[in-house]
Amino acid sequence: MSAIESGQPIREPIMALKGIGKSFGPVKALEDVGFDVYPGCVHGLVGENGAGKSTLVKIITGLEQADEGEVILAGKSVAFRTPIEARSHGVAAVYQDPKLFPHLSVAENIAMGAYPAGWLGGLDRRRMIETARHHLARLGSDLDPRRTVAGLSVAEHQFVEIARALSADVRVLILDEPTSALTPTEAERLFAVMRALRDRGTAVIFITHRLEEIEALSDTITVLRDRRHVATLPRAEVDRAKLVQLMVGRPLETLFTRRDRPSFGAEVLRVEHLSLEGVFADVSFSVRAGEIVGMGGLVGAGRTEIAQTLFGITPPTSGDFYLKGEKVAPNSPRQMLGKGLAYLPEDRDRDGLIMPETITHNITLPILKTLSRWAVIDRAGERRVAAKASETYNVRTPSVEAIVSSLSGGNRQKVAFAKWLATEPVALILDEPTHGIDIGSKAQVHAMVSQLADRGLAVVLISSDLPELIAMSDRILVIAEGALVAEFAHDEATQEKVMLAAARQSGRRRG
Amino acid sequence: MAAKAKRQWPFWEFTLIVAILGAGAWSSTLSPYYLSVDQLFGSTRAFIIPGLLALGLAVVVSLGEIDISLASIIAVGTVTLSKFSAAGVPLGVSAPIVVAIGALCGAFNGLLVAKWRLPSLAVTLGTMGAYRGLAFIIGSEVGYTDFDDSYLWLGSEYIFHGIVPVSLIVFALMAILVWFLMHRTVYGRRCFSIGLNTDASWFAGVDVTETKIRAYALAGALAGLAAIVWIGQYGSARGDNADGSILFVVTAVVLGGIDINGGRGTISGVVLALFLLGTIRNGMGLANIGGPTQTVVLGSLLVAGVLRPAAAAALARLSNPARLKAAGPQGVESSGQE
Repeated sequence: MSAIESGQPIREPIMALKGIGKSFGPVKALEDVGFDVYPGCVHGLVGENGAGKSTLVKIITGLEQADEGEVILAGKSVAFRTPIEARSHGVAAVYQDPKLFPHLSVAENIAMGAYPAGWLGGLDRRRMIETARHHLARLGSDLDPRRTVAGLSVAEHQFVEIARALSADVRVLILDEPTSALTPTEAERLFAVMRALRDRGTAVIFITHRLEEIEALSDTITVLRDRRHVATLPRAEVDRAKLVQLMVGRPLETLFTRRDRPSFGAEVLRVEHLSLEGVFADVSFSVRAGEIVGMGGLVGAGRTEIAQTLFGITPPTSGDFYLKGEKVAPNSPRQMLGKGLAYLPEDRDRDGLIMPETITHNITLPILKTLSRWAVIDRAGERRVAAKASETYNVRTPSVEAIVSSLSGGNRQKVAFAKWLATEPVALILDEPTHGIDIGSKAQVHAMVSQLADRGLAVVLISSDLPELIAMSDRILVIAEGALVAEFAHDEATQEKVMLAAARQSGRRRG
Repeated sequence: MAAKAKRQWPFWEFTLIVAILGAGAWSSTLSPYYLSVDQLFGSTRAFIIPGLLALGLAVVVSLGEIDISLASIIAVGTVTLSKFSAAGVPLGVSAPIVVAIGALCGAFNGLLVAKWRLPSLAVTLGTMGAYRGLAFIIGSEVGYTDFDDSYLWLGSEYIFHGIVPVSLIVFALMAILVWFLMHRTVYGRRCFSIGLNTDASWFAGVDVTETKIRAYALAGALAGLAAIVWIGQYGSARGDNADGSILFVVTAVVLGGIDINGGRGTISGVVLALFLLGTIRNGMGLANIGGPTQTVVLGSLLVAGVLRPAAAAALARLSNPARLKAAGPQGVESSGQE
């Protein structure tokens, strides 16, 4: 074993993960993940969305229990059942969206779970405030501990959360995407704190999508991919290209490759300088009939928001939108469905379908008007339409009167497709259409999307699944931090290029 | 294996019918006159006014909302009618105006709830007070009883050899209309969809705001109609008309099987629940059970109605755990919702 670059002496790992595995029902969330974390070291943890980072953090801090493997803390095997238990052993995590009690003071939040007892077992308010002030000062923050959390900025939230983690004697501090909501200056302050903690001997596990942050701060880097451990390497041995390759280097085996280059028709959808204040800005693109335009980017980059703005859910603050050459000002889904645009929402079970309803009622909801005479529903006609649609989209069900929530994820997605396509749109926006469905259904969804494009629909495909995005799209737009940052033709797009473009940190626009 | 949507409700309606027969049998032991045709039809008059409110409220509750201001809208209607009657306006003119005023009061509730997304319980608690106050301002503390005879007809006359109250016919017509609206038209389907999942309905192109405002307006219009019936039944208009009757109305809707969270239920269930509550109240009257006790019974039935879905789910779990497991997420879904 060689000493780490900075010349620190060889030490025992403070935490060792050995063969960690976790399943949620039939879905594997983690398989055989193992690596060592050393004290006085910033350990970067990277991987694509869904690679298993968050699940791993939850297992370490006791929010979830591992099915296999063990966590060894300072030589002893531990299995925390709650985050509080983990904290009492010096293991604490700070999440990207701090979970604080908004109506309590900063001091109360920091002391949460370990209030100092005073006279007669009452709360020792003064000591609590002093302790809070002390921990905040260690972070270089002069936040008043008596302030209510509700009025704080996101960065201040983050600091309170870290101070809370430090209030116990923390040996392993996990930061999960701590900078996603911070301005560059605030992020710099956080990095200074991380370095100070490291120099004091704390092990810091640092999760981020921003590769430049990983490069700047980490001493060691672990890459997860597809819920497995890929590599743990010293910082000196990796550069950006290698990191990206490790993150995305997945075979394309299970994917349906798209039909031969088809000929595209006329322009169906054109977006010019579309902006939604504070969310995305100056987005321009167009989609032609028969074309599938992919939209890549990190979670939270603003892709869903762009789609929902086009569909009339949150009207834009500026910019123009043309559908079949006609200028439209989107202001409600009803209006946009009428204009021939359909949107398959990302959260299918919440926004896309009415789960406790029948397949028929779900499919016909957007087209009830056409299935009725003088507002009276033609119920036999309705069932015919639903039966035909579920056959077309291959929904496996004993009857169209079945309740949607009794179907599998893949079949639900097919019902959702049937529902939106029953509206006979000219343009279709698909938001993560294969998220959370099994491989078999995934291939069917891919085939379906290709057929739809072949039939002349203009398709926008939002996907965080890079191989899928690249295989399916005729053109790929990359969105980062609410801006369109890159565009690749099908032939020039590679996972590495898309990933690099998506992970860029501009610091230009911040909420 | 796939659970069917429609299989649950006839069971509940059947239970209600059995309960009505039971309550009727009990009542018949209390008075030898109970089972006479006159008495039976006449007793229905007791729940026609709350019944009209319940039909409208059922639509509002199917959306997952509530309206407790309906009884106050009745009072606005009755005092307005008293002014019209005093001014010699024929009923043919004043009746549509009063129904329209009711619809307007309701639409205002709907506007606050749907357009500005305020919680419906708080909004209609506020307008319950406001409309009540308005009724007192329009009328006065002193009741008006000098109604023109034409104003009394709807609520006091009997037809078919003086057996069937006219108001019962009106109620039956309204019940059929609302049943048709909710179970056969696009509008009704949208109401239930919104009650089950507002966001998904909005994504599917349903105009949630408009649907909700219409439901409140309909409930208000039915309250206006109820005001006309009121005048005939009681021959009197005062600011405190129908005060306190909303408990009966909400109980009927919930006991009738309309899920208080919206999305489920049938109008036939509501009508049956009205008959049941009417029979129970009539029986309690015959048995000389005091008003306060009657209120306790009514309140308990409301709580029982709210508890029913949860209790049914618990019973299903106890009696047949394997089947519930097979139903999978469906079972979880419904117990989570209720």
